[in-house]
Amino acid sequence: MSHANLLSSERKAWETGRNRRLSVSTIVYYLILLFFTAALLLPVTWLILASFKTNAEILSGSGFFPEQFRLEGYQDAIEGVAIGQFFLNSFIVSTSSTILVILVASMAAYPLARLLVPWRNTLTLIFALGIVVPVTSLIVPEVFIMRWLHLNDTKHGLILLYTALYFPLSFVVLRAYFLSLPPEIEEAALIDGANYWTMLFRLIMPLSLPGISTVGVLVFIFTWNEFLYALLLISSAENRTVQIAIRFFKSTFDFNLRGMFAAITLVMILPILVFIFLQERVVSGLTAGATKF
Amino acid sequence: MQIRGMRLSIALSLLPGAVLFVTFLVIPIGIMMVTSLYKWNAFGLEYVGLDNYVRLFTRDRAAMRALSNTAIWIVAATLIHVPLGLLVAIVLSKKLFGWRVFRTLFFIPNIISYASLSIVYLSFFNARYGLFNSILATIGLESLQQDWLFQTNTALYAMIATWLFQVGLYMLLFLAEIAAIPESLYEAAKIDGASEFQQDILVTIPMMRNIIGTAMILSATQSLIYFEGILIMTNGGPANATLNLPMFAYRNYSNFNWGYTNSIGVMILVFGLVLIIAIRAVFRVGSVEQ
Repeated sequence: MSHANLLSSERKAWETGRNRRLSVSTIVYYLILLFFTAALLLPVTWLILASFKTNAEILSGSGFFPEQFRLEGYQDAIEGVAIGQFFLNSFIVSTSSTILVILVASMAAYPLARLLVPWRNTLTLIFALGIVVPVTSLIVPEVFIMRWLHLNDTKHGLILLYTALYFPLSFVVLRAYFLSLPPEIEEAALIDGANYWTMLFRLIMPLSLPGISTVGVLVFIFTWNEFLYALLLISSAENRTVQIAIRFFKSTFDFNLRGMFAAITLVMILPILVFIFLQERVVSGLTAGATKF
Repeated sequence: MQIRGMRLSIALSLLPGAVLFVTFLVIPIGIMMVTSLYKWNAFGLEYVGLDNYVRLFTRDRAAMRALSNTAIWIVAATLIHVPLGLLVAIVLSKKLFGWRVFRTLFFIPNIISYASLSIVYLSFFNARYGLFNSILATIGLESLQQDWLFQTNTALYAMIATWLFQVGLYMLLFLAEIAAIPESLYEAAKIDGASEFQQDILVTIPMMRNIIGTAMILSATQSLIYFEGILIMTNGGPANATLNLPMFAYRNYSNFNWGYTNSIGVMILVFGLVLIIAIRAVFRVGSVEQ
């Protein structure tokens, strides 16, 4: 499957598609779609709507929609927990890891994709094998290595670890993109006297913006949602990311359900907005990421 | 391209990635494998041979539970959620009015973090105010109302049900693949008198062998490492009913049984590789002949 032109080929196939008319099968299809709409979206929709209710309304368990849309829950969420600080931490960690992994993975992928480096196939295979390592298994060694490096409970430690953990996937996706560029590109540049770094940073990377942004969106969402290593490495409240803050919502909000629901809604809304505005980029990123096994 | 005069630059260019790769993937795997043969806790290291593994497979009942729950979860995810994703993709590929909206909607839960979804489902299944029990009451099934996530006989299945959102991800992979199936195959099937349903079964599904295998690998490996929902929703309880291998590893890590945790880690690593190799073999992922 070719990921670069996946969406355009998809569109072409739809346009030349089969015709339909209203029939029993159409009705069955819509029933299936309605069932999945309910099964996949009802819990999230219900929780978001409940964040506008009063606690009494939520606890009585009656009614899907709030009697009236109230914002007290959001007030509780913003005053009750330092949600702004957690958002800032998550933003710093995700943005820095994304930029760093793009830089590091491009620098590794470029020579192995386009230059006659000795051992290039072996090195490529070794890096690519990193994708199949279930990183959940490495909790003890990662925690100790971070301690030995005096990087535990720091944002830059988490950034470094995320960069390393998402390096193999980014490397594979970027290498595939670099390989797809025409081979003549560098030859003209070499005649003009360009050196290695000019070719990488001024020529190849700007030409690879679609591939780079695919990797960027993918890594940003993965790191934004990452939980396990943030939980293991971050102990102080001022470095907490949004995801591990969620763990404390249950106890912080205790029986203040509207506050907890409002806080969760705030946490969920950013990735949903990113998805709605960058839909094609996210889809091609996840498809590219998912099919690399 | 020749690399004359660029050797130093290339070496420098490869260095950061290689250093990170070795520091945070190669060395940790090495440490994990070696220390899985040790009793390692706050007091230090003591070589015990294969004792951790013997304990894991014979003496520790929680370990047995974690192993079987992980296996049940993987089987359910690959054999229920992946086929459901295929069903949704085939229905959407009919391009009914509004199919793009459904595609977007079905994918949305996949973009939300597991941690947030855990709170969503914890509330959804809540015995007192959760929507799920209210729905049961509305459709006249009050008798089925219960505390889904906190009873030993329902907890694991309720937890697996919270995994249903993954259907949206598989749907997306399948839709892209269906779009790439040549229209001529459907024309040929139509000339042979195949109904629409027969076309789905006889043309679409066989053409998707590769991507179904890929989705199963994804589903199996994701289920194998699932952690946050279990920690947030049930903490592995009640009575280990929802304990899986990552949760079990985390619990032992928290109890300072670091050597034992690493033997669980080795198991997760080995299972992951075995699953990938086995599913690739069954679906002949990567081969192009039909």
